[in-house]
Amino acid sequence: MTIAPFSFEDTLQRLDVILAEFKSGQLSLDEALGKFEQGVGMIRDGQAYLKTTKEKVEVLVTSLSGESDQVQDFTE
Amino acid sequence: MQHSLFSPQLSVSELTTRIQLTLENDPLLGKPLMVQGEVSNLSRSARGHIYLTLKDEGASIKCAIWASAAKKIAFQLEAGQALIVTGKLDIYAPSGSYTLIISHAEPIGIGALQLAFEQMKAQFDAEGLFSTAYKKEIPAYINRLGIVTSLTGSVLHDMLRVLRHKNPSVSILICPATVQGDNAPQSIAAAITKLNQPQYQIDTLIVARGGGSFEDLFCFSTEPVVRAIFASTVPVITGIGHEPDYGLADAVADYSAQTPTAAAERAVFDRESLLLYLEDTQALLQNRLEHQLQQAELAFDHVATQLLHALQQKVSETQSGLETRQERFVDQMNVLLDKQAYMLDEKMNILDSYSPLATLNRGYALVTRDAGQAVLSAQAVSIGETLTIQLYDGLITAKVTS
Repeated sequence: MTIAPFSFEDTLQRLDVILAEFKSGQLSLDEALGKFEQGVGMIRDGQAYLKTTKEKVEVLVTSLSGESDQVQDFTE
Repeated sequence: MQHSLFSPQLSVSELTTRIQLTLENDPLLGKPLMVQGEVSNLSRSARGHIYLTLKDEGASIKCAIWASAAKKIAFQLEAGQALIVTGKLDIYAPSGSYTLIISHAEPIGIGALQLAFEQMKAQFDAEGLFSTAYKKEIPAYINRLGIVTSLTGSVLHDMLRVLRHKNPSVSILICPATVQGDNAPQSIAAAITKLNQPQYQIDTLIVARGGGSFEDLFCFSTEPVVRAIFASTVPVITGIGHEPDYGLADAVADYSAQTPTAAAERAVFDRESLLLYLEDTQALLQNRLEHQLQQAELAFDHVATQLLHALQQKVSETQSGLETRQERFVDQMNVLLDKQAYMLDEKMNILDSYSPLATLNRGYALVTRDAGQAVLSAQAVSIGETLTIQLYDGLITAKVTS
């Protein structure tokens, strides 16, 4: 029903940190390789999320009994 | 006391009934009428009835507004307000008083809704509901958007078109609401509250309605809606009416867009831009890593060169040390040899001086037999024996004859 949320805010922030670490020149080669892998992994996840998520529009429908609301697909 | 024959005598009740009848039959007073005056002596009963006096320079009249009618007056009655009221005169027999029963009231000079708007605006403002301190930031990247609007009309359609175009990755949950009429305030407020429920995982909420008159849009300035938006833990973007429309929902919202489609634009990030950004970031990361690898390679080369250099230097140092030592050794050997040679010469000279050969130099001769054995006595030789006589410069072989 709902799509697992993806935190772009968090991802972009972490990417910024990695880029800054690279820029500082303080990373050892081992660390640099690790960070690179980590960064590219996050980028791939983000791309995958953006590319595979289909447009999804739903509508909240109040049931006749009025007790609970139901989420239904919405078609115009 | 004199009583005229023509002056009828009536009881209080009869008089009052008479007055009531007269009023009811009066072409003007018998029907609902409009009266203009200023509000004073305002009070409210626990049941919601309102009592007041309307007055002008010369007169005053007691008025009542029953609770059912009071609910329909959008603005707050205040003392000193100039009103045009619609009402009907009523005689209350037990107290012998007449009261104007008001069914409708309009402020003079300003519309009722406008006045209500100004009053609520002042009240909410005093409460701090519009303060920027309470404004939540609209998240830049969201997964799920909530929309409160009517399912009918083009507004929803237009917003969905914008959202689909800008970012089809964001999922949308619509909570339909009545956006016009008496039920609108409750309906809108309920929808906002519903979409705040955590199970719907809404990141940002849009409250929208298409254009309309001030009266049409007034429901978005009512207390239930304003309070629901204020209470929303999910950031709220309003898109109500067109550009110049600015209601209290806009004032209390975290962000107020000028139109519903502008609200949709504001709510989601541009998917293509983000994809491009991610691509660029990957390239940048790759670039940085390559740079780092190059740096490492350079550093390695540098160290290797230095090491090699140091090694060569050590070798050449060792070599030259060896050479120096060798030279010194040879020198010393030569010195030693020279010394030895010199000493040898000395010894030779001394030996020479002791050598029998040196004696031979002075004219002596050495006589030996074949075997080189020296003949020391004449008695030791026999006739016919061959002897060797050695002189300083050569040998003579001789035979013993006597």
